[in-house]
Amino acid sequence: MVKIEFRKVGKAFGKKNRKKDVISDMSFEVSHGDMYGIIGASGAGKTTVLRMIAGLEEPTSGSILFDNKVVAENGRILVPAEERNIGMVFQNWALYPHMSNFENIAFPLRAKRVPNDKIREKVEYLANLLDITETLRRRPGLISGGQQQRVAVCRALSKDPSLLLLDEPFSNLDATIKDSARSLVRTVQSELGITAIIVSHDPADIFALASNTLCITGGKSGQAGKTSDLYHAPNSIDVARSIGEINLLRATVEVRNGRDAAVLGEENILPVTLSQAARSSLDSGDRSLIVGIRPEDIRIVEDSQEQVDARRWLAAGNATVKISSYSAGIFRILLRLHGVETDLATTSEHFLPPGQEVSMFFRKDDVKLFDNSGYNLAATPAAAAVPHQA
Amino acid sequence: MTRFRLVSSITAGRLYTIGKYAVLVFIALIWLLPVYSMVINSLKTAAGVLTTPVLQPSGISFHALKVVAAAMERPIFNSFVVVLPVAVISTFVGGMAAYYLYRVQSYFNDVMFTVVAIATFIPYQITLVPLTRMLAQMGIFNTYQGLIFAFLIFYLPTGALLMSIFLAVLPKRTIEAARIDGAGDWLIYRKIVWPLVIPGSISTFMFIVVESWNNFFIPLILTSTPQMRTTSVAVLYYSGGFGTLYNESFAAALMSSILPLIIIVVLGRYFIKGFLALGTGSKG
Amino acid sequence: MKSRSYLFFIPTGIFAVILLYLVYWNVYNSFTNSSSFHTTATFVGLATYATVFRDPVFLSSMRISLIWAFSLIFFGNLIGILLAAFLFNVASDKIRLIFTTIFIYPLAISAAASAVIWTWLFNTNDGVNTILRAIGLPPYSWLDRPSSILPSMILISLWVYSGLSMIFYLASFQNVNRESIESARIDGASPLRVLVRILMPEAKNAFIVSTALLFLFALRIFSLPFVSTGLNPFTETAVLNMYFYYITEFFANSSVVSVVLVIIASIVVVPYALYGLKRWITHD
Ligand SMILES: Nc1ncnc2c1ncn2[C@@H]1O[C@H](COP(=O)(O)OP(=O)(O)OP(=O)(O)O)[C@@H](O)[C@H]1O
Ligand SMILES: [Mg+2]
Repeated sequence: MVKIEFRKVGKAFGKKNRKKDVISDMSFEVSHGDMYGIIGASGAGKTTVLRMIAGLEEPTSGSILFDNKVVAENGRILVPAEERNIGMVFQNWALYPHMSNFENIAFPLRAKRVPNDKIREKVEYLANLLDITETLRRRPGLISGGQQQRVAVCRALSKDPSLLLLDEPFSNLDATIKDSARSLVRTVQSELGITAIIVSHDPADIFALASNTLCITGGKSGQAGKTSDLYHAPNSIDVARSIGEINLLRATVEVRNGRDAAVLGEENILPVTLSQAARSSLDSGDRSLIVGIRPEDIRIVEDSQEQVDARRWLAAGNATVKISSYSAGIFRILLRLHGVETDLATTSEHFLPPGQEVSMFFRKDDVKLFDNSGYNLAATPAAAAVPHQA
Repeated sequence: MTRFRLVSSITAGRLYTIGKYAVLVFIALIWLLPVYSMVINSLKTAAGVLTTPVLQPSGISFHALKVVAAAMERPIFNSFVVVLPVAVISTFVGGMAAYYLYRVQSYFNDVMFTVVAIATFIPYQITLVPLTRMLAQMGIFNTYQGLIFAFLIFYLPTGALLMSIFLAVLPKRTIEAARIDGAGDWLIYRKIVWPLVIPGSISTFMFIVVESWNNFFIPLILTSTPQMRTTSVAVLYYSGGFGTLYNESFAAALMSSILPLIIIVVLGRYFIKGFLALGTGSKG
Repeated sequence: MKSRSYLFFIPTGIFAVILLYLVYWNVYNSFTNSSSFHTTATFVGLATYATVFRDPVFLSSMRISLIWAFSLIFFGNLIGILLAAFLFNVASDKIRLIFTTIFIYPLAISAAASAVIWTWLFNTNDGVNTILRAIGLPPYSWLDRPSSILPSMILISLWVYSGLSMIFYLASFQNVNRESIESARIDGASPLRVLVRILMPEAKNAFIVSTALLFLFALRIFSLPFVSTGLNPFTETAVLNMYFYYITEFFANSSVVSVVLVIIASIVVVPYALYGLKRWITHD
């Protein structure tokens, strides 16, 4: 168990004349025993952060602390990877192809010169826990992907690390076994109670495992906090997108019926409430902003007679069904709005024929408003905006 | 009409194939002339030497081979004493250097890499005077240690260069995984790197065995007594000239080349791979 | 641990530094007038260089070395391409390996043994001339006349090194996309056309590498002329022998020769190491 802290960490690759900043000014903290998630788009710098934690890469500036002790700072590694007592599961598992699975799992213990009988005991305990006992005598190349991943997890855990790092541990697994792999990692982590950090670009991994998450956007700490806060109150469009699907619609703010309203395309009008500061910033410049709404926060109503709870739902006008597709008991619907180029994705419990006209409601508390640079207008205190109270 | 064309094009193709192999076989025969002449001539009697030209066989006698074998026994033994440690050390220790260059990349290491390449490729003969002096000062002139030492100056860098190329195929992640697992460099080198580059190290080893076995110049200048001569130098004394019968020349040549020839026939792939690696960095 | 991995480089580093020292010794010595007449050498700047560069024997040996190197590069590449093209068209891997082995084996035989063999094969009365006579061709003087020594030597070195060029070309031909060759064949392109239009454009690396290596090996050729014609700077022989020739008396002169050789070799080796080898081994 260990606490990890990044203080203003920066990382650049390449030589002097062709230097490339990959991470800049990044600070966050992972507390004891936490299962911490790191998410971000491809190339955002997730692996780089993880490798700095592992000690495989040094920070160009800033410092990294383990339990308040500096392990690397300003281009120097003070405690090298082999002394950090870390277990790591690599994206492709990086198993030793020439060793049996048993020897793979035993390797960290051999490096520590643990006596043979202790090694056998430990390996067999872990193999039993992760249900790979029968594969121990074979080599990694001869077992399935799911089994390889479990061997990699066993190897990472065999030396009782104080920190477990997982880099996209599920991305090479078949969709069918992903969930069982996730729950396995979760069980093992909570059973052993060690601090763990999981890197993934797939929100499914993060939701399944991480209670706290750092979202990296373009090499910066986009937002760090509770995973659900990142989802429901993202700082920016980049964060909102990294952690889940979101529909983004350009809108202009106009006054309709004496109230502020975001006008989407030609016909759809969404009442909004803007803070004083947000309004004045809009007054001075152009009046456009971006409305963000997640698929599950859109409700489709086919029958105009249907009652919708106005305390929770905002009418957002009509739309046309473009296409319905199916996945896991849910129909995925693409909606087309008049005069809007981007389609709106949402779900429905039943099939809707293409071309059908529907009315659309947005969940009031989950409409997000972003300014043109992509920042959440509600998240910046000076320009707080909350959806209109009907 | 069409049928006729088809037939004629098939014969043209067949003619081409036959022609292709005819040319190949012809060139191969020229290439094999020295081996052929080594075999037939080292089996000739003195009378055969006087009555037949070099390319014409005459009878089979092991006399010349026996005579030369007696004289070459010691040089062949010397060659083994020198070549085996040189090849083992160059491969294993050169591999360690290769592992370092693989692990740590810096401008300084680019310089070291260049030095290693220069050591592999320069006309090493030009170091004769300072090298002889150095060995004399160290008191190892005309000794096995001296020969091994001198060979290592050139073949250790060769080993490092070749092993660098073969090491390049190792996935970096595998080495990093081992570091995370708490292994130090020595453990990683022995338990991870070495087992994974075995084909490459066989190539390196074979390449250095053949090259150092054949090295003529270094033992020529660094030995001063017949007892210390290596095989390639001993051949010089059968190079013809006054009163030598050519069956003995060929017998000596055969004896000095038999080991490299066996290596090339049995393990030719590895030897070729060594050259390919040296040239193009190809590891397969 | 990372800070301690340099320990892995130390043994190789030590030997590389020794080599640098040997080269440095020559550089230093080349600026003196060290010789058997000046036992206490004094610093004379570039005077010795001036002497050597005016020595007609040195100039002629330099010229011969360059002729040798360029002949080897030109004909070596030519034969290499020819053989590679033939072998590329051989369907069976086994047969290809047999021919490859035949063309590559001279590289595995010591130059001293090759010299002994070829000296006899080039014997005016008993050697290959007997074949030439038998098929009605005029005999050649081979090693008997000074003017034919160099061409004969070049032929021997072609026998040794053409196989090297061949394996690089063969490797690069085998990397060419099979489908583009097959589609050209289906379009009716002759094998020659396939070679010129499809295979050769992809063989740029093979050309560079085989040229560089042939050049470097040509610079080091020593034992071949040394064993077959002896130390004979006044007839046809290569630069390295000049080093030998000077060594007996004119020590500083020999150092000048060695510096010249190191510089020429480095011009090829350094870019080859930094831009060729280095690039091949660093991509992850
Ligand atoms: N050794 C390196 N040298 C130069 N650039 C690098 C190096 N490693 C990573 N980068 C660059 O740093 C950026 C971040 O890379 P990183 O691997 O951390 O991204 P990631 O978030 O893990 O992406 P992915 O989801 O694709 O794995 C990328 O633009 C990458 O090209
Ligand atoms: Mg990554």
